[in-house]
Amino acid sequence: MRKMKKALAAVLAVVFALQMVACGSANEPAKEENKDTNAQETQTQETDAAETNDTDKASGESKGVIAYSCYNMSWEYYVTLAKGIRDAAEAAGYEYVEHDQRSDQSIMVQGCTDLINQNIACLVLTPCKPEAAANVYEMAAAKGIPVVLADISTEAQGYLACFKSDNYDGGVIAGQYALEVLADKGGSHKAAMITVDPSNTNISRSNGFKETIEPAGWQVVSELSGKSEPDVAYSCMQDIITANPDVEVVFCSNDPMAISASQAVADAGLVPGKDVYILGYDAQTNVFEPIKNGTVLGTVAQDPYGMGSGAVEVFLKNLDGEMLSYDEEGTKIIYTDQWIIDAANAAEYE
Amino acid sequence: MKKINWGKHVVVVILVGFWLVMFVMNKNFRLGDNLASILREAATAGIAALGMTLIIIMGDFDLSIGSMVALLGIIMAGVMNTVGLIPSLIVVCVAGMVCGLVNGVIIAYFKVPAFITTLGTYYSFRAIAYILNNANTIMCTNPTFLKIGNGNIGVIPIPFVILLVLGIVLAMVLNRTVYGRNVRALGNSEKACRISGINTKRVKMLAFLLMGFCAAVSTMIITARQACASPDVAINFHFEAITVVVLGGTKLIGGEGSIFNTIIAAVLYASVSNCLNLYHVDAKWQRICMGLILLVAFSFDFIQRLVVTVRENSQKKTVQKV
Repeated sequence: MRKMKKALAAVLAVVFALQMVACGSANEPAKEENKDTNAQETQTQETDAAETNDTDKASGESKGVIAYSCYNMSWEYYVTLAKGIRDAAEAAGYEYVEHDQRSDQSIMVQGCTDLINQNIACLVLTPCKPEAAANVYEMAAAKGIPVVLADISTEAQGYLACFKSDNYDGGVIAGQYALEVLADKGGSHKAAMITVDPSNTNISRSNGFKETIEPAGWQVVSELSGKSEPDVAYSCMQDIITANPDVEVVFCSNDPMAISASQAVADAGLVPGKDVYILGYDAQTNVFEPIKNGTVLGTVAQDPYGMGSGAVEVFLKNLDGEMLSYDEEGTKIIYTDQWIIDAANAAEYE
Repeated sequence: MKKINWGKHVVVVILVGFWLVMFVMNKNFRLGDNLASILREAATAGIAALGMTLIIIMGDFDLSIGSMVALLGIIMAGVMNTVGLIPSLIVVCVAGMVCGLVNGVIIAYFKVPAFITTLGTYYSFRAIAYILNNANTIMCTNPTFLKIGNGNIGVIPIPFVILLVLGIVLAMVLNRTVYGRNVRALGNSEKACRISGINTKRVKMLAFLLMGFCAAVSTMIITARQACASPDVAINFHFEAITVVVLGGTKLIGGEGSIFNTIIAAVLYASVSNCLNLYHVDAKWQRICMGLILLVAFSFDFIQRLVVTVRENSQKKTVQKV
């Protein structure tokens, strides 16, 4: 009996300790957010606004909770997106909470269920598995909670709007930039692409690039899949140079692959930024150094902050009964801006 | 009236205590929808944990159930549109038993240790799942099927009812049949079983077959809740199932265990996970909490064994002195 009581006491103590941890660390996300997102800030005015709004929140008047369930909060891109939502939510007098799916669809379904059961005002969702989100829409609709998608779209209907970048258009922007910068260099007018197969996002980007430069007389000599892994992208780049030593520009559909490709060019004895030009995508923090050094020509920047704040804006408009205008009526997609970051404007966006 | 040995059912006391505290402390926990959500979530890992209880009582492990779920999901969703709902459910149960049989045969007849075998099938089953549909996800839109995961009978979620029914059946198998007794005996000492004429190979194979069946039922629920089958689902599923079994007090060395405790532990695990979500705990801290729970669960076993060993040693010394 005594042994059982000791065991019971020990376990209860651990469980209650866990709860204290839970209550204590519920405040941690707020502090961590502010530290992490200073790295990638595309709209610095909002930062100032956020500071003053934190004090408004403290006054305790909250109209409800806006929750963001995210694919994976350890990715810088989504940290910025989350900040966009947080700032807009708090500016409008709502409380902001976050949920990390850790790239696991079961966690996505369960976490969204738990959030919906708490009768939040709005759910902003970046689904790690878009197909599995259909149930989430139904549950939310049953409780009258609007769902807004950010960055990733799904086929199932049931959401209010979806904010994402037009990946095809991003490829077009990269293509036009390449044509502009390299038109007079007298190079071979040969291009290659390192994409990620079978990701639709990346394939759209590559298609946009290809279909912009080909009509202008350029030739795409190679299109390989870097599988979104720097090592694989490195060997793809080596293969491209071996087969086409006079290739002029290589478009990589994300920055880690671009950085790796520029390394491969350097290791092959050529000069990245002179003999071969590399373009990336996403404007991640560690591509700014190569851009300033000239080893990477430029990158296509997306606007995750704008996606986040746009999502909250759309929710508020819907609440007021305003009609929403979409860029694509059928899929309710609203596109956010994209632009090139190169050596000329890198300092501004770093 | 049989005297209840509370020492063996500590997990019940912990669950009741936890729920009482949460009821008082958090208004969202009390909501009917939330409690139903906990039961629904408990069923997913709980059903797999039922089969895992049998395996652990027998003294083995099965690390491949997550990959089994991925493979079975693809198979079930793949045939559902062509053969219809009921036949596809039968197909998935049969396929689950076949997967379990693969494990069982390699372990029992080729004498490869369970850890190694199921580690191999952990990789192989998932690889087959990726190959079968070219790594694509298959949508499941049959509304009756979706009800299996998302529907209720009255206020109780259907998955939890399935958990209870399966639990009762397996508890009867474990406690009231010769087979159940053989499973426990095997967990205590394989050598003694062989000497007393028990067909250890058949006992092992049947246990892994049942595990495969439980994995198939889990697959139905997981796929219904997500309305799609994909090859990258349930990556850490074996971890959850083993944690739940050990949390229920089943010893890792085998020989002892209780299906009832496993069900209670499944509800406790889901409750703690729900509580972490209700308090919007950061993902990093959630991982730490679940890791702590696993450590605590495993250390019950270790501490109890340590106490028993120390007591035995001190008794031996007393006897020697005399």
